[in-house]
Amino acid sequence: MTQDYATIESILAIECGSTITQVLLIDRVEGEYRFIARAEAPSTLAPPWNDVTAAVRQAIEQLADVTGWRFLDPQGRIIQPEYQEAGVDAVVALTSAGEPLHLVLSGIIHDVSLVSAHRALSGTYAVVEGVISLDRREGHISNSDIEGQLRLIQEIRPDAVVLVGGLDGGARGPVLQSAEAVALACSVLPEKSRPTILYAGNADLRTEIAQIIGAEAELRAVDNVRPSMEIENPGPLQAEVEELYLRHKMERLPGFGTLADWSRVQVLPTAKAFAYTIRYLAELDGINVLGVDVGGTSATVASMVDGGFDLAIRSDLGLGYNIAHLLDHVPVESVLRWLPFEIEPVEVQNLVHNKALRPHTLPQTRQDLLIEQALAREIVRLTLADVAPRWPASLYPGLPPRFHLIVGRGGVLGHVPNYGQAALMLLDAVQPVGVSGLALDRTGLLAPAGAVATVNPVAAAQLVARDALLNLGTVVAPLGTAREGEVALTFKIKYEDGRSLEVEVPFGSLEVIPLPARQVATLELRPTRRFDVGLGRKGLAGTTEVEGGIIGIMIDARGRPLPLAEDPAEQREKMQRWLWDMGT
Amino acid sequence: MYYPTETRITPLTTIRRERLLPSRGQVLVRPGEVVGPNDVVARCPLPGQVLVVDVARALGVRRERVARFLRKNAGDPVQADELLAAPRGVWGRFRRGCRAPVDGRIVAIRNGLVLMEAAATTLELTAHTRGQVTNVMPNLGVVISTVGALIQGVWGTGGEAEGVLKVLVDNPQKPLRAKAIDVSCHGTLVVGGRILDKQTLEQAVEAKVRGIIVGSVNADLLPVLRAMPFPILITEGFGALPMSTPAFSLLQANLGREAMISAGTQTRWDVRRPEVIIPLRSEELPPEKPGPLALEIGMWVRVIRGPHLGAVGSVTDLPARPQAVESGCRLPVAEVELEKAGKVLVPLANLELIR
Repeated sequence: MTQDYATIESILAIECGSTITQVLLIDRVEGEYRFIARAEAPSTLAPPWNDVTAAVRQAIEQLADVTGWRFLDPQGRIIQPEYQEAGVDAVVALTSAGEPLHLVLSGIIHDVSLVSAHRALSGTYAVVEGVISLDRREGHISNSDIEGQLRLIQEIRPDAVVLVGGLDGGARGPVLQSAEAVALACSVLPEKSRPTILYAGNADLRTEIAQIIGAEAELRAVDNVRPSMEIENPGPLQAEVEELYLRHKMERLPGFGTLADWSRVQVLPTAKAFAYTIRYLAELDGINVLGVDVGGTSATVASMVDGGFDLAIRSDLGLGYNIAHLLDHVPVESVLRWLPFEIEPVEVQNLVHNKALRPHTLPQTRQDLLIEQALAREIVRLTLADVAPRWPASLYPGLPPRFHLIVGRGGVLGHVPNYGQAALMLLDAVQPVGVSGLALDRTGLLAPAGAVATVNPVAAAQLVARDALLNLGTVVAPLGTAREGEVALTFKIKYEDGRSLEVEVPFGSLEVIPLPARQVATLELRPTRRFDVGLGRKGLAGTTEVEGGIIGIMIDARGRPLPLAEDPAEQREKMQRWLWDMGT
Repeated sequence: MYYPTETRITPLTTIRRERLLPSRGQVLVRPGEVVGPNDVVARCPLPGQVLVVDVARALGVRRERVARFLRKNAGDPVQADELLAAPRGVWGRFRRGCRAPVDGRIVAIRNGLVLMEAAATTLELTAHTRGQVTNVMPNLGVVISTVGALIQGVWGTGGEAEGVLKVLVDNPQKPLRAKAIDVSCHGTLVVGGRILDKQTLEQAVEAKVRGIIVGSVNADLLPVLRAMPFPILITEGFGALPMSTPAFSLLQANLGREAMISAGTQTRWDVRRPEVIIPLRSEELPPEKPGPLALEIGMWVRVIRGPHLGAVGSVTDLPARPQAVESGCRLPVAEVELEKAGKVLVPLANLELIR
């Protein structure tokens, strides 16, 4: 590829989502790769289209109108390479439109092998529909309940059964017992409905497992996901599940073959491409980065903390088809607390179920918009809750580690009338501590850039540096508590032109100080003795350089964890105040 | 060029529907045959429940020793109480054997366990509609063509049903009331503007209606709706929304006619929309409408999101640039003349074509 990518000047990136399909044109301008234009169309997986590429062509037509460039030949194929003022040098494609894999997870002890397996699976487009274990946990089927396991597999008809358990050289009996039950269950299913068995347990048992499963199902064995108490090894299982997702789900999307033919490299799952970019951003400056993507059928959190990367995909949560599932996880009252107005819970339920039926619709009223934003906060909170236990121990128990940069992606964050709303969604859902930069995926480039990197890393790097991020500003979130209105910290901001400003920030407030994008200021933070500005000690003062953004500097002195009023009327008032504070 | 989603609310069209067996079976009709809704067009065996018989435990022997006591093999048919395994020789006289719990077949024997599949039942697939068999897929199912009215809904639950249409309200705003559902509704598909409460549904069960068609229902009634013994179809969505005028007028115009509801809803993967089919007599088969249409001025559309959710009107303008809407966002919009609200701007994403 090295001799190849330098010749790629123009790139068309295609992202097929479950509700929206977007195409982005990237071209070399004055020696640098830049984002040129973007167009989108509602995705066309369903009748009457039944073809993901129909939406791609519709979006490309719009792109052609905007740019005056011709991309399609008379047969509707993308012209490649660029030739005589038509076409592009390369196409890359990514998609999150595939159905997630449905899995049954069979292990021994929840806190050991099953936790490790959950971690491995959380970075894939998969939903664990049933769990078999030795623990008598609610919702788990016992390893000794053979009929229960049989019924579970018969009812769910999973795409795969993930069989884990036993440290290497450790437990044998329960693992073999589970394998027996799984083999039995497979033997009574029609051949075409038999799940793949992914074995990632005690490595010593592979031969016996192979004998037990025999010809009943396809068996794929990978390294133990938990070879010892101290070591977790999620990579091989994760890679195998990804491969299965590609074969069983992505490749079966209607029209996928054409998309794959157009794309110069393998079509990537969107979350994976998003993860590449977040990782790149973190490694570029050696910082902690959190990326949050709220999609129509899934929510993704990619994070790099102290050099450790983590990807979590909730394939059961999104703001489109999957939105109704959110109410299976949280009561509607949890959504209401993020609203500045009174509304009957049933009205929110109605909106949620209508949105699930028509996921491509957009909020037209302010009320609808704020309800969707409230739902997004809950989706991000739940997804973060999955990742949080995997982050290194935070300086502040129960709170996220310090992120130098927090990036938001997805229609609900990008399509806001006022960027203060997007910033507030991120602040409420993530609740960062200390000093963090906040940014949005302005042009929808963040995930496609990950795919672009596979054909032209220079182009991807230049896009991320120049066009992908909309810098919202810097947030300072002191940690501590006091009575509302008492001073939490004093800060002094020194602008580049020599001006300075000193402000006292009361506890419970959210202050915004404008600092335009591309301007840098020095911030002197002097917390009172009850507050810590992320330096590890209360009352410790510090100075930092901050970058401006479309909002500026946000001092979030509302407290951590964010104190929400128990009285709904009081909470509504707070919410309204916070929205005002953010200028919305 | 924007291609909106579509809903079919059409007084006369040709409707082709596949009727497929869940597994391979036998098709009982031939192409060209005329069928009624209750005619069986295909059948297939439905496998029975799978049961596990722990022979090792029943005999009190080690699992690896079970094979020597078995009296049956995998694939053998067995009757309830028939001996599956028992000690042979002198010990057999003193120990109880292990017997089959139900009629069925042995599907597998593994590790001291016998897997039995209870006797299969037969699934009879009915035509569900009145029409002509236009295609036979051997062993799999048929395609039936009907000429008639078609109303697509947005959500439904409870499978399929057929019955005579009975409209219980005089305008689409009015909810179904429990007191309006009486003995005359027995065996009918009742139509109302919306469902307000659980009592109405309970009364419908009491009156033995075959199905309910309404504009909307509040989402907090979902668990009750899902437990109903008949199908319920919603044409507009969740909330307190009247049924749209085109849907209501069409149902009212066909009052007293035989109709079929399919309430199954699948919004993703193998998308399936709930629908009402009203077979009608027609001399000629009307031509089928062409594929997806781009939105144009003059088209008849329905708003599918608030604040005008459910309202119907025609497109009067398609501004070239995005416009600001009440939320403050700038979105691609259409100007639509609605029946009651007059001319309003609606985001393109919130419109669907009515065809």
